This record gives sequence, structure tokens and C-alpha cells, in this order.
Amino acid sequence: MATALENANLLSRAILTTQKLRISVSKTFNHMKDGIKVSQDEHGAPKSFASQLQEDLFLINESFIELEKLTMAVRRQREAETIGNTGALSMDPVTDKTPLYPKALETYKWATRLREHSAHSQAFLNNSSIKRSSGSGGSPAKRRKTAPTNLNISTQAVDNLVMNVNRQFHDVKITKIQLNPTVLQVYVSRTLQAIIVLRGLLIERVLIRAHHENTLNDDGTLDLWTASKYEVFQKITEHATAASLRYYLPTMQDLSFRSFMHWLNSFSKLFSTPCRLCGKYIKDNLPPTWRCFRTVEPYHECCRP
Amino acid sequence: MGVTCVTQWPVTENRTVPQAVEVLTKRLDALGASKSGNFGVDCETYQSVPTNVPLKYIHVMHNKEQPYTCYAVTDNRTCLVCENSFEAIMHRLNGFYVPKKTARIESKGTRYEMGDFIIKIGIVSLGPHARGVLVEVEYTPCVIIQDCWPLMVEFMQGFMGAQYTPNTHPMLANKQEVPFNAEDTVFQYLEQFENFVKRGSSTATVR
Ligand SMILES: [Zn+2]
Repeated sequence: MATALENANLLSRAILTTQKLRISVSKTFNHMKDGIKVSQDEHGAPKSFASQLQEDLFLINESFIELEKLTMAVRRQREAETIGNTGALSMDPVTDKTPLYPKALETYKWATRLREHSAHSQAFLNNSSIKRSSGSGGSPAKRRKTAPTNLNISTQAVDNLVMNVNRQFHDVKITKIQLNPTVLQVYVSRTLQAIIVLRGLLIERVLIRAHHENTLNDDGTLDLWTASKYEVFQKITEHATAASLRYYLPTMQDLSFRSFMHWLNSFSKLFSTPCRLCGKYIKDNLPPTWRCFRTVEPYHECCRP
Repeated sequence: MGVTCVTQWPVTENRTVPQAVEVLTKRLDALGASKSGNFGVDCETYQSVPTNVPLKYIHVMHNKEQPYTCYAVTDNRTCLVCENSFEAIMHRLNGFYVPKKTARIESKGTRYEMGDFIIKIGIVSLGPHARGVLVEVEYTPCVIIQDCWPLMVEFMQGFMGAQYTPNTHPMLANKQEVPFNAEDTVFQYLEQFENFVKRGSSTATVR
């Protein structure tokens, strides 16, 4: 507390000194700009321009040195302020080179903000929980209890599903490109590809890319994160994520996956089907990227019913 | 690269070439297109020496979109895609092929982006004379022209006017639906350039 008070004192003095410094600087500039009136000093000798300038500069120097002293004092005080044991970090003599402590403070602030944010969102979501799935929903504890049993799905089941879907939809070609977690690559005619990450048979993440875009990183690993560079597929990725939630049925995972595939299949003629509402191909430079969840009819995002 | 369509924007009697370009750029600005640099496509024609009958042509073309690549196209549209240094080889062949006089033709102008579309508006010049305007529209997410042709026509009508109907795209006649590639764009430019050269010999130059 005492250090804080002292600090405030120092700061107000520093402000005053700054003002003083600015006044003397502008006075000096004025003298240089306008020249000085020839006046007499106490002894009657005429004051020369040079001596006036010297006087001005002396004043500036004085306030400057004072200000510098004050700044040093303030900084030393600030470094002494610490939070708990982390203070030890700030004892590092080479703080300038390793800004560990300021970074730690920043992180702490972030973490606090994040916690507040999630607390708010949790409260909000609890108020407006949607019963998306039959049975579970309601209490989170219950959901957590039932979920793991649903996820014990053999690879055989996944393979069967992939085979069935391949047979059911002519324009869709699914291949399993990673085993654990299961990642499926779905080509929908020659229009687009979807990278689907599964948990059990439930869709965890969907990413839509152009048919001709890369699936692998430069080093040959699977790229599950880079979004498509095309606006149209970024938009469809958004809609696909919404669709995967819309068709989310933990108790009937098989049906859930098939419904999603039925929806995804409707993009096979993405570029050559006009919007159901306005009859146009293009709106806002995009083709109809939205599909009705029931009828899978194509609409522009702003035309949807 | 996506599907492209290169088409001519008519320069009417009462307009100069820059004025015709301005009409288009104003419309694009109004639609919210953003400028993304310049572009250029050029073509130099080499002709076989007269001792060789019949006369054969090789068109050496560049597209600024692929700055290190050179396209050498023969009369029957065989295309050699190679490094830029190919031109040096052409000069070595001057016992067989010589550059046709005043046959360097190019289309140069501004490149625009609008969502997934790329629009290039170029002034075509043959030697020192501006001959007309070429518009190239590319739809980048799609590589099969049969899939997105009506969509592209609708887009082009969006800024070129509803009465505008582009010529049937040469690739549409192709029964096999093959992915689009850079040569297909170069071919379209070559065809348009040839039209300009043909017409250039009969009509007065438009300036
Ligand atoms: Zn619409």
C-alpha cells in the first residue's frame, strides 16, 4: 500500500516535471523563432542571444534530468509489485531479454477472462438448452455417463457403414484414410471433398474443400485443419457443421451418419443447380450453398425459407 | 486453376477503347470487386521460312499468371508447355522459323477479384495500336466447364449486361468432361488474337 502511494506521488511529480520541460522547450523555440528583445540584466550589461539560449538550454537540461530520475524511481517500484510466487520470475536479472514475467501476467489475464467468458456462456446455454437428442440432454452428468458406451464401435461397423453408403449414393465415394481416430474422405461427384472425423459413428468435425485441393500437408501428414481457400467451400463447411449437429442422434448413430450423407450428397450438382427461391445461380458471388435439412433443396443463404 | 472464359467486349462506334474499358471497370467497382494487380497475355508468332511449303506457324505465348512458363502452340493446337528460356531456342531456329513482322499481340490490363471469381479486363494491342477489349472471367472453385457454364454466363451477364451472350465455349464441344488447365486459357486468348489480326487487316484501327 505504501509503495503504491509513493508511486502515485512520484507519478504526479513526473507529470509536473514533464509540463515544466515542455514549457521550457517551447520557450526556447519561441526565442529562437522570434529572437529576443535587447534587455539589461541586473548589472546593466546587455543580454546577448547566445547567453539567453544557454540559459534556456540549461533549464531544459535540468528538468530533463529530474524527469529521468523520477522515471527510474517509478520503474523500480513497479517491478517490485508481484503476484504471489510468480514474483520470483521477475527477479531474473536479464528481464529485458526474457520477458517471462510480463508474459506470465498477460497469460494470467487471458486465463481469467477466458474463465469468465466460459462461465457466462455456460449459464446462457443452460438457460436455452435444446433437446437435440432423445433420451440424453437435460443434465450434463447423465450425458457423460451414457456417452462412452455409445462410442465403443468396432472398426468393422465403420467399414460396413462406409460400404453401405458407397452403395447407396452413386455420386459419393468414401474412403477411410485414417484409423484412430477414424477419418473419412468423401468425394461428392467431382464437385467437392469432405474430410470427416468420426467419434464412434458420430461426426466430430467436417471440413469441406474443393475436389482438387490438397488433403495432405507438405510433409505428407493428414491436414485436418486448413480451411478451403475458396469462399464457397468455407461457406459449405459452416453449413456442414450445422448439419452434423442437426442430424446428431447419439442413440441412432447409423441413421445420423446416413442422414448427413444424404444432405451432403445434395451438393453433387452444386454449380449447376439454381436456387429454389430466386431461380438464380449466383447471389453475393456464391452459388446456392444452403440445403433444406428435410428436403435437401438448394437455396442461397439469404433465400432460405 | 479454375474454369475460364475469354470473350470480347465490343467497342462501339462512339467510344474509344479506354472509354469502353472504363464502362466495365465502373460496373465492377459498383459491384464491389477489388483490384488485385495487373495481368498480361502476349503472343508472338513465328513463321516457317518460305522454302518450307506449306507455311507453318508457331505461336509463342506467355501468361503473367504463370510467369515462368512459356506456351508454344502450333497450328493444330498442339501445345508445348515449357520454361521461359524456350524463346532462346526459337531464336536459334531462325533458319527454319522467323518471327512474323509486326505480329506481337498482347492483352494487358487490371485484374479484379470478386468472391471466388477473377475478372481480367485487358486492352488488346497489335504493335502500337489498341485494337479492342478482352474480358477473361475465371471461376476458381470449379475445374469442369460443363458443371459451371450456366453459372458463369449468369455472372458475366451480371456486369456485362443482360443482353450479353458469350459465344459457346470451345471446351463445351468437348464430349469428354476433362478438368480445365492453363493451356485452355491460352488457347482461348490465341483464338481471340487471331480474330483481331484477321479483322485488323480489313478495318481501320480504332484508337
Ligand atoms: Zn436465391
